[in-house]
Amino acid sequence: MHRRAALGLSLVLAGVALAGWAGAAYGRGWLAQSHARAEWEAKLAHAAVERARNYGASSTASLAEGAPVARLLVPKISLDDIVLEGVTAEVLNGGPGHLPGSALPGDEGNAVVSAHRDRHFRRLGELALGDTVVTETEAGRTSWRVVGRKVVHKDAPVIRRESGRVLTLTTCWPIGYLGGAPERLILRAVPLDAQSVAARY
Amino acid sequence: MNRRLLIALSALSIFAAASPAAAQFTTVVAPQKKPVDQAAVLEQRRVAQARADTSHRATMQEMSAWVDSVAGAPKPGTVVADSATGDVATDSATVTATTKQTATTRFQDGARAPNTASALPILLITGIGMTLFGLGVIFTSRRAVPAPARRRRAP
Repeated sequence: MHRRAALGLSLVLAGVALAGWAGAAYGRGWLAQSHARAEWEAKLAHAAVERARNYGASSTASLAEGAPVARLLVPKISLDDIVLEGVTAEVLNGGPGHLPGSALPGDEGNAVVSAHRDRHFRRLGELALGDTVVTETEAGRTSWRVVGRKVVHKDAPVIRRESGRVLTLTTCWPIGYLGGAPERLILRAVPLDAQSVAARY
Repeated sequence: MNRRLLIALSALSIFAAASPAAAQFTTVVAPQKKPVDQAAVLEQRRVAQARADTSHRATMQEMSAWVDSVAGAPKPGTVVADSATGDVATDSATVTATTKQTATTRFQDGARAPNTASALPILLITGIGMTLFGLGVIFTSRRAVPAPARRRRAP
């Protein structure tokens, strides 16, 4: 009897510790996103001054990891999150991450934004061709239209240099699946005023 | 006369046996020192000097690498970011090895998508499952305990 009770108690303690650790990680992510949102709003308030000071400078050179760089809105799936700089596990725990070195959303080039399939991009699979995505940076607001959607192997070379303005959203696939992620969902969007780029995809 | 002779022999035997008995109890007999081989000593000193020189050279090489790293000089095959364009110029062999072994953390043409898999959901579900299972084990173990026998009252 005592052995069974001790075994049960051990299981309860280990389970509570495990669930508590995972829950705490979710909590830290939620707090990080809340902090990033407040920081982003403050950043926008001073956007004009910042643009004047950094005129002509590279927009991606001074981004620190974890710093808010953009706001991502997808009305169809009720997504409204602040995009953070970096794609490390710690950054992605707090929100969608902007791949360092890629263009900022709205700038010339390929802007790559990634997020976890169990949190911020848990409904990304519902997006279809033609759906609208909106990004907001210090430089301004850009509306995008999804022109490409594909599922690829996780090792497939899908990050490409682009000459025009392109937004690439990535997450793990399949969504709603526990365990490893053998594939990736890749969504590609172009600005609404640049539909001609879509023909090349 | 015989008694005196016996006493004398006893005293003589005691004195004669005293030195061997003491030798048994002292036990430690210092060995005689070997003659010092001057050639071996010189050889040991030469080896020690050579080792010291080798470690000194190794230290200086590390210092050189450290100075290079401080000066910003990259090692061969190191990934170097171009701050002006935001691109990454790399050796092709390094790119292949990096792409195969590590996750994508910076934009590269032809890189794979960043790793967005998270172990948190499965950890959370496993933890909740273990907790519930443990509670079930505790509950069933309590139900399996027989009721304590009632005391009989004395007549």
